[in-house]
Amino acid sequence: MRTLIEYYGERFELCIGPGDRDNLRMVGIDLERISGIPKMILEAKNEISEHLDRVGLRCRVWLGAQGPRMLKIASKFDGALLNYSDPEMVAWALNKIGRPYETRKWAAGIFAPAYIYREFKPEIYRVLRFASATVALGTSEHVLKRFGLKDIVTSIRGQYGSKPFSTSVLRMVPPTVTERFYILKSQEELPSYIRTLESLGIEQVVFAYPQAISLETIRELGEILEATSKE
Amino acid sequence: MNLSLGLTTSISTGMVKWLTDILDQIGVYGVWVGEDIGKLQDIFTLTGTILLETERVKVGIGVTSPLIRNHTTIARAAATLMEISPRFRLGLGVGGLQDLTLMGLKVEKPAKLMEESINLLRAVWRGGQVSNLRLGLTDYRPKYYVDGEIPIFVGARGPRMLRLAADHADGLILSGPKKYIEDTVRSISGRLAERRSRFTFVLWLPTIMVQSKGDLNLAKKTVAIVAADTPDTVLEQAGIQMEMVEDIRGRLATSGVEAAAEHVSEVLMEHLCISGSADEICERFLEYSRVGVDEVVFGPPYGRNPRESIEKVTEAWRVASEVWNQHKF
Repeated sequence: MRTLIEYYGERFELCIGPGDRDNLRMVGIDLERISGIPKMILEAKNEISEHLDRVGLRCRVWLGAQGPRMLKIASKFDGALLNYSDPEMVAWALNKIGRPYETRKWAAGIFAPAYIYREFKPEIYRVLRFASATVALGTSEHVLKRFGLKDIVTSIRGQYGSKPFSTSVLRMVPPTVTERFYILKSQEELPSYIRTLESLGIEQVVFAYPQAISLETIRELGEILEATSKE
Repeated sequence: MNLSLGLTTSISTGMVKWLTDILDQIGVYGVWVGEDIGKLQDIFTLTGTILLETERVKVGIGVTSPLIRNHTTIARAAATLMEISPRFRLGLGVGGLQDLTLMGLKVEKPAKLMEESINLLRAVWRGGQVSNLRLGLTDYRPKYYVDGEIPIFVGARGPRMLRLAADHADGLILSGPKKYIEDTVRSISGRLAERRSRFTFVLWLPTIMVQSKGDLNLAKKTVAIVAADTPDTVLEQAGIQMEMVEDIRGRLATSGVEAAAEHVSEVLMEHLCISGSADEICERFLEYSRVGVDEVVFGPPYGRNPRESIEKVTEAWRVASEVWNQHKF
């Protein structure tokens, strides 16, 4: 961060989090064997902020959070990017954090698989389904139970065991589950969704993969957002 | 022979900005970025910045250690740098003994580790499924592949690592006394005779342009540090008296670099760094071409005024290499 900020100016923000357990397992990191992950992440945040403070540089450090253990420490960061898209889930997560933004500069955002479109393309929707199925299958049991998704997700998890997700596994996750974890909106639907998020206190929305799957989909989002901001 | 510039991750951002503005114009072939573990800049970010801000020069990492990062991180970072520009080169080395000890790392069979690292990185870049339990990977499936081949260079000193580089890498980054370099290039060239692909000998030399007594002191300090860090086998191979080096190592450990520098002899200076005027430095660089070195790296500390030294040495190089090429052909 220091290299980037010193070279290109204070335009950088950093979001840290434990990472996806299945992807990490493939590279030799087993999250199940590591205890005190929230504490480690918080210490990392403090170390980064203190180092940058010492050299007079500023950079907002976000926490990428989804489960209750991460949400518990989110108020100690400069903001939290919640891995949710469903307003009900977002509201629940913010409630867990305890609204630190009422007392100091703190920001809440969401980060979710997204497809914002003018002309719907089924092939991108299919990728969106897979991306959100991956999020759903990695969601903590506590959250799944809270939102009535535990039975269906647990049964799918039981079928793939510890193996990496295959297309066939992801296909098993029904749309009723994936729709809770993605942002799928037409140009006309987006403003209302953004307003709902704003009313909850969300300041930043990250339209994650597959929105950036092509220059065309990025451009489409940019144009839609520009039109939305004029409304 | 080509001249490249060497820098490390201890470099200031101001210096990086100055360099990226001039690198394409000063006649150097490339830049090598060495990793000072735990120091100022991140090696991948710094290398990426230089690649983005230049258009002509080769930009290499020279070197980073596969011991201090997950291999998939190195693979992804290198793939990104290659995507930014095919001018990218990746140098790997085990790492300095002192750095590794500070980090609590110990490596057994470093040459074996390096061989596995190179094979694994290339397999990842080809996009196939990769497993290597020793390196912690189980059925790792990269979601990308590299278009083209990322040249891998190995920073090596010991015989096993040198042989490994000759057999598996695209080039070797050497450093050390001249006699050692001569012997090494000769022996590795013999081993390379069977290989069809191109192999590049890169020589990284601590270089100091000397214009005053102050510059000489800087050169002596550099030599004291280099002497302490150079393996005994390399020093012995070059015929350097070990008593002289032990004395410097002792003073460095007990009284610091200033005190150690006072005991650096001219002989040791001659062996372990290149110093002198810009023209003398270039003459010394060119001597290595006869030995078989393909690329010389003008490495830090450059001189008491690094910017002036870089300007003068690269200017002298343009003239000297032109004369050399005319003479050669």
